[in-house]
Amino acid sequence: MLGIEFRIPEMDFEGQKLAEILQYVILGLFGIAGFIWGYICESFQQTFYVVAVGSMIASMVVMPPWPIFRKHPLPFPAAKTELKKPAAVAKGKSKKKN
Amino acid sequence: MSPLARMNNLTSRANVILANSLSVLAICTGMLFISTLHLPVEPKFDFKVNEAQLRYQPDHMSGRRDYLDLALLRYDLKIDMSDSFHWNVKMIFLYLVAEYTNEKNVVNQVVLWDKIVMRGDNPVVDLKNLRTKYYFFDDGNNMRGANTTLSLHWNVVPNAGLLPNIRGEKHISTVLPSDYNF
Repeated sequence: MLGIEFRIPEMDFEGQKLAEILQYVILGLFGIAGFIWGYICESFQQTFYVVAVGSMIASMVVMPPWPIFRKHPLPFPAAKTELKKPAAVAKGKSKKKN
Repeated sequence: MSPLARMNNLTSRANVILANSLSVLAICTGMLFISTLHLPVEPKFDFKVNEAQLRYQPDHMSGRRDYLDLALLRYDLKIDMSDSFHWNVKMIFLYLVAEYTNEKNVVNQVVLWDKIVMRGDNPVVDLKNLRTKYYFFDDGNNMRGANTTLSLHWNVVPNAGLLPNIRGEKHISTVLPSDYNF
């Protein structure tokens, strides 16, 4: 559109691993804190609220592909220098060889 | 749970977070159940019967055009549930049961009164000279002089866990009149 190419950046593999560990840590900590807080308040509703807030924070930290999750990009393979033969393209059958 | 396609795009990460926060909530609920297993729900209560009358009552309900025995009780009821509502009790359902034996049936049980007490409501029930909330009918004419035992039962409705139905240890016995009052 208008000659502008916009792409949502994606996490690399290391970033995905980090994101998975991070969401486990955040949700687990908020779960423990929520249980303790609910026990103090004598109200399971408070536990639910704390877990819900933890879920939102985890979403904000882990869901968008922040730059911290894009620190290990995979190198692109070198472009092939070979040119296809014009005859093969015209036939349209020998494409499988590529 | 493939390690390759779990966190690779926005929606799958949202899915993982939602699923895991629900798992955390489920674990918290289980811990809630375990943390309150040792806490008993035992309201303190006291009650006494002030007056018992017996009535020869035409039965308009079943269409048999019969006469049934109807007992009319007046009683005091005092229940204190202040200590009973820990964080796994959502509701207590109290009910008062009269039990008697006669020639026709070995066991007769009639619920005379009940009340729902939610957590946060006034935990003290103090009622004086109360009539029965539900009719204390016999299914025939065998109520005269019946030795009636009144007992308080309660159901505990928790947030998570068991649904105990407890019968209070304290009972009172009252003998119904040996002849009809009116």
